[in-house]
Amino acid sequence: MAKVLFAICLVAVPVFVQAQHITISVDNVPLKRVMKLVEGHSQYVFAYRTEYLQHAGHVSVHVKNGSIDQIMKQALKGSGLNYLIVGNMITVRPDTTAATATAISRNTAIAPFEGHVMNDAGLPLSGVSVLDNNSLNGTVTKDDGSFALRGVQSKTVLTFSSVGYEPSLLEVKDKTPVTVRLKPLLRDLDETVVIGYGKTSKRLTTGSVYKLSQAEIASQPVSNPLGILEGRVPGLLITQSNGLPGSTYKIQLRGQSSIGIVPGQLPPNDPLFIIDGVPYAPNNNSVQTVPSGSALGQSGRSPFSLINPADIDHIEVLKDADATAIYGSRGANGVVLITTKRGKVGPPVFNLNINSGFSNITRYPDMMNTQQYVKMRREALDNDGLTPNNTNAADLLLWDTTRYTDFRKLLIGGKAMTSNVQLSMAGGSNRFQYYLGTTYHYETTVFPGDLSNKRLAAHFNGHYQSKDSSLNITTSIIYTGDNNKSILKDLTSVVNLPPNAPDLYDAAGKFNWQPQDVAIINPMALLQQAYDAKTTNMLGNVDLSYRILKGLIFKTSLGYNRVQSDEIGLVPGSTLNPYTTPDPTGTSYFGKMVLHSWIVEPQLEYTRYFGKGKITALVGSTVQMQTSNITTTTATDFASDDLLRNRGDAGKLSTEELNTEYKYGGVFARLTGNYHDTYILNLTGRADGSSRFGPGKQVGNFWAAGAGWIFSNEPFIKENIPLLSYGKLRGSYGITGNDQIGDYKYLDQWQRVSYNYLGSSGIVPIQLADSNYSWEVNRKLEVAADLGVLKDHLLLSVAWYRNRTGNQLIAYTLPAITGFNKYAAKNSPALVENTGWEIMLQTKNKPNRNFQWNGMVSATIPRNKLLSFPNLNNSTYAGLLVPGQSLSVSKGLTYTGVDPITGLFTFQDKDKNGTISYPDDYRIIGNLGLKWYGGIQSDLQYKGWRLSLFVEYRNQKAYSYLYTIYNNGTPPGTILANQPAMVLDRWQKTNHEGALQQFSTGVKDSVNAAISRFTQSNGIIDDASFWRLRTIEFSYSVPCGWLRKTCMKRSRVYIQAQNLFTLTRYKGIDPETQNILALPPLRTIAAGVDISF
Amino acid sequence: MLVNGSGVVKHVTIGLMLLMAATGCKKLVEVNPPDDQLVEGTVFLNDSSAQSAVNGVYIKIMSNSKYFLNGGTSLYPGLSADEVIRSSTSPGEDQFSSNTLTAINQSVYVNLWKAAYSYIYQCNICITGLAKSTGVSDEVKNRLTGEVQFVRALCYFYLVNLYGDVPLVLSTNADVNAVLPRSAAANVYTQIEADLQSAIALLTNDPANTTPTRLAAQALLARIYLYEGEWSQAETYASIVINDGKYKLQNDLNTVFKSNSTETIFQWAPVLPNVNAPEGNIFIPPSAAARPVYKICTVLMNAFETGDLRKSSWIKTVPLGGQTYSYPYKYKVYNSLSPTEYNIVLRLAEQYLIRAEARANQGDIAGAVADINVIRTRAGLPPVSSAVSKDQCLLAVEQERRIELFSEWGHRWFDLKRTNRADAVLGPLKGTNWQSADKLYPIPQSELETDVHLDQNPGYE
Repeated sequence: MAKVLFAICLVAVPVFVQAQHITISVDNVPLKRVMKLVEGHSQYVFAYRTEYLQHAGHVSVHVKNGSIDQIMKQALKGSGLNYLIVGNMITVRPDTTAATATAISRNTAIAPFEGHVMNDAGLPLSGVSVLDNNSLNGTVTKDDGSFALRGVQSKTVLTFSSVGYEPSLLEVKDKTPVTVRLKPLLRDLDETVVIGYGKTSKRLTTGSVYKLSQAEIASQPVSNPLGILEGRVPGLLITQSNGLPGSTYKIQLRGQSSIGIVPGQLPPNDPLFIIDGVPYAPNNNSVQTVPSGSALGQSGRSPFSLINPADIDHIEVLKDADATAIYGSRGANGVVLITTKRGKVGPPVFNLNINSGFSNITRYPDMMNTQQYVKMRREALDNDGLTPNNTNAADLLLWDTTRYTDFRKLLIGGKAMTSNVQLSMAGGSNRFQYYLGTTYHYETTVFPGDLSNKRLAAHFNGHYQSKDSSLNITTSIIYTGDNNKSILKDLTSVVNLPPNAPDLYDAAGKFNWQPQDVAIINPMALLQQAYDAKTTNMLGNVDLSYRILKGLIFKTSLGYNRVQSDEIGLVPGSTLNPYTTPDPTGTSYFGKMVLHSWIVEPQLEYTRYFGKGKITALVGSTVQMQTSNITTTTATDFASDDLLRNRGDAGKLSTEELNTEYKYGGVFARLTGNYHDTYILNLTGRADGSSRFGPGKQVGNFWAAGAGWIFSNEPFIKENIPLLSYGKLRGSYGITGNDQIGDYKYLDQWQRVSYNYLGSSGIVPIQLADSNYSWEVNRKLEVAADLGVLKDHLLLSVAWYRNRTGNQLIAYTLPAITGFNKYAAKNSPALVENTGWEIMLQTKNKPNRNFQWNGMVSATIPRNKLLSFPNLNNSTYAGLLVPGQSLSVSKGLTYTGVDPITGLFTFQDKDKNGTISYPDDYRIIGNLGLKWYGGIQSDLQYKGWRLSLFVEYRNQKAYSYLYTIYNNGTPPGTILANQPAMVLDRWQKTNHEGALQQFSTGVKDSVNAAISRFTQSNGIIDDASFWRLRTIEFSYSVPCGWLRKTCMKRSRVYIQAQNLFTLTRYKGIDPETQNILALPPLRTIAAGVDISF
Repeated sequence: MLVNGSGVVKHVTIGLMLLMAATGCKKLVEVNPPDDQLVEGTVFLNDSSAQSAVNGVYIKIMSNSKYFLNGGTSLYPGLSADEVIRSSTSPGEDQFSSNTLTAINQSVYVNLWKAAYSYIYQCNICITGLAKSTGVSDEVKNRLTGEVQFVRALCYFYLVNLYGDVPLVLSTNADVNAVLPRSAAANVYTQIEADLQSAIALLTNDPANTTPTRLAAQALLARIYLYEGEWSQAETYASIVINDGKYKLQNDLNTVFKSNSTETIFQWAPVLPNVNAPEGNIFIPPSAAARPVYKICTVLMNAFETGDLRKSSWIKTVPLGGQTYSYPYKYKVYNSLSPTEYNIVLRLAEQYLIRAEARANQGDIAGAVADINVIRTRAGLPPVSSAVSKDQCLLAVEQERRIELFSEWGHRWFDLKRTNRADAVLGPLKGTNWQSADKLYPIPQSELETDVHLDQNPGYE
């Protein structure tokens, strides 16, 4: 009871509490024991570096009802240490002045000694401790960074120190006030790292967490946060699907873990995305719903195009069981935590960042010119033994065979403009800090015409702390409006129009569809098929924490997210070929999507110190609900193309609605023990329920244990290996789950059929459900070592992981007598293993005050393996998966080159039965996965000049450009299909050799059969490894001295480039997107200024 | 001053209890079903949604051409017997006409077996759903239950005659059904009888013939008893249908297969746009210039007596490229916007022939001949004499059934099998390919692989 009274009394006392009386009586105990006693019996806490206390001997303290000063003086007597009391924090540090104190003259007192402390950006720093090393008097700086210290004598040395900054010494001269600049600590081991429901530091974490800092985010001219992460995080593979604004990114952490319920189609193992504590409602699923699609392709529009990178402060990627188990059934594929910017203590700082640039395609193969095209077509007709006529050779007989249009240049050769204006205001007092930011982003496309993506984003973050710091409230609100004006088809898919195609407009200025015999696509008409999407994203979160008692904190997070998308797709009748679609009329497509998500997460956290140990316990619960409402409408029968945008004018409307609901709830607990910052144990448990499972299967239990041993803190290491400044071994094991199989898969479902029986509608069962299925279970094991040498200037981190995913949710084949072929989903004991090495080497060097070099090299060597699949041969996965091999292996024929006599692709007849057939001649022809990948980062700084670059590399196999060419129905020689000039290396009658088989118009069965086999052979698999200069930034910060004459606090000019160049042996198109008929990632070059005032 | 821990413990405990109370895990994760779809519990909530579910059965049956109960049951047995043959080759369908089916034949699996069991699943889910339902009125519940029991009986009748012993699936529990063995044909017949008896009790004599009625169930039951050799029962039920007076033979043979034909006992209306009866779509070439895909076998052409009006009305012969092709022309529409021909399942003429056969087997030759002559008279043929032996009379019934019911619903194939005449008739005709085991179709290979308790018919192992 006395304790509680004590706490209440504290609330009423202002920050400087020195009047407490404490009784301590100990003999010959370690200094730390005294400190713990003080902490246990008063509100004081100690701050010190462990190494300072290493040589402190045993001490005796006898104080009865004495002041803290009495105790500290006794405790530190003769130890070579001194102390500084600021607020309730006692900092213990070496007494650097002990030796020189006597030498300093004690006259000429100047009082008071005043000054300012600021950071290197010129922002005032509050709470910096200022210590007079002579008198041991001290104070802290105020909100504006100012301080005043009495009794300072000339030539005394003052020490300025603050968490996260390098301490600075200042010899007192007569001049006052002084300005002191503190530099941020180079060592980033102690940087805060956000983990699930808490924070830790890189030094102390037992789990696998990667943090992407503000600097890495800001250096990239990329409008999608996933694009920013690309290549940077070991174990995290991100691939852009298309080079258009708003396109999606495929993301996968530590490999493919699920087989999936659609055979042959590996499901997206997306991590869980949490923004400021709120699960992002769309996660990484497309926010595109318009029935006709858009130029972005099948994967649609990325939900992360609604997140403004400029609002992001940092991103943490949680990988192993220890870090992710607290997310239970959602954490199997990892967790990505996005934290937005917060205000800092200080006067209001306005920041304006403007940049502008352009993008263009870099890698696109040369297409044949007219001469080559005509030659190819004639040769094809000749090979097929055909006499050219107006049907099979309209392009040769009816069209001008000398006319030439470079469709690559015309359709995708433009320059896309990009501009960004970002304005923010931030600041605040000790009690309240705010950040207010707004960003306007504008981006056009490389297509001709007036297409653009505009985004306006606003962000507010406020943080309040009560006077006694017991109550903390943080709120964060993001609002984004996005308008994507695009078209329905990627023009890259029609770059293969014949180069001698006639004028795209006729004499009257209308689309030219001539000649009538040939069904030509007019790309200019495709430009009129508009896609217009307006999307808003609102995300709000309130984090409340209240310290109930010393060490016991109640926290709750309340979050809400709403994403709404309104889309229109227009196909005017005038854009359809009137010869293939007689009397064309217009169609418009409307899509509307509203996603809602809310979450409440109350938690209790308790921290207690025991001697050298510290225990933190966390218990909490989650209640989450998510709804999705999607309405899609197809409108036809308009009187005129001009009315297409108004569905009220449609003669016929067909509307479909899909509403789904997802609920999720759980309780979790975590216990962290830390002994002497050397031994750390972390235990996590979670029980949760998901509505994606049937009755009785909704609740699951997940747990993890992580342990870390910071052996560099052990005295025997310190003495024997002084070079080693940091060394940690850590390991974790645990179980997480995966509920990403879509909603309602456990229900037998019925749906209305489109036909009627004598005018009345009918419904039929569409899904046979096994209501007994449950989560996929992911057992994660990780072992890692982190080493720091040369005072942590060089940090090496090596991690090995092994994730085994069992209880796989797969489509389960049933005999047809059950009425269906399969269960929608059923658990299978099939086991998928992902193992891998993640290696990262970082260095931070600052040989002198003007020069700094930071570098990083990372490498990931992943391995995916299907360990077992019971009864595989009787399942629908039989021809697709091979036990012992990766899930991404491909089975097919062995390509053996072009037959010099027949001019056809040939294949190995494995069973030597004279025919090429399935399955006996099929073998594993390649693994379309990655062998290794990683990145190299270098950051060079000299005075105000800074050059930072990032190179991404991947070693992988993928489908070559030939796959698209031979698989899209228009192989070389086909009418109206131009080809990359590379295919000219083909078999001809004359010389009987060539890399590809004979040209054909597509009428010969033998040629078509060879093509069909070729697309199922290793002939279309190529090395798609690449090295890409993903980001390069060059900037200059105007020196502070110059700025003082202006009102500016900071000023920086920069030039940034993305995808500047790529080294690859991959032929044809970009090795990342690999599809010759989709727009490759663009090269962007932008320049800007960044001013703070 | 010592730390007093009890306060802390108390706070933590209270906090934890609050958290647990706020959670109530299970209840939190209960969701409503998606609202564009129905789940089993909501399908049989009221009359109209229950009706939609049964409509779904009919729509599903009528949605695929050449499938079970929708043309497939006329075409494939017609190929297997001596009725029709393809005029061009098709590896899959040629296996039927040459009686060389394999267990991986896609038509045997997809068009017949798999389709049949998907309809049976729908029937089963309707039967159990209706039985459990409290929201559907008794009147509707009885009618719909009777209708789907009729459909289930029809499905099993064709399955048991095509494949012999078949798994008898009567529930919707896939875990149970996935491991079912085959049931003896006799047990399947028992179930068919039970379903039809129940349907007779539950159904009324609805004036419309586009859904199963009591008379339709009685007509099918007459056929079932005939196949089982229960002669007096077969006669009784055929008599009920004939004597009811609701159905009359059309005098004009060209109108027998119209949707308004008075002799139709039960027919399904088409659901696909432009499609009429499936047989019309299968047998009639799309244009005058097109070669018919299926032509009538010479033996069948020769089986017609001179002057049989059915040969001129129900068969069309076209010369094409120096050859003549004869194809079934009972249904006369290949396709049309508003359908005039439906998928006729049961018609009165068959009932006369059922009764004739039943009577002959019971020694009532005069009665049998009278029934045969009803059919012959309409076809413009002279009556047969009643001064014949029982065996002669039965052969007369067989001949009349062959002519009257050709290219309809596999009658010829099933008749030859059930009267044990297949070997005698088809053996000489089909040559070395013919084996007695060909009377049964193979159990599809993929079924044997997914349900280890199934076994294959002899001759296909």
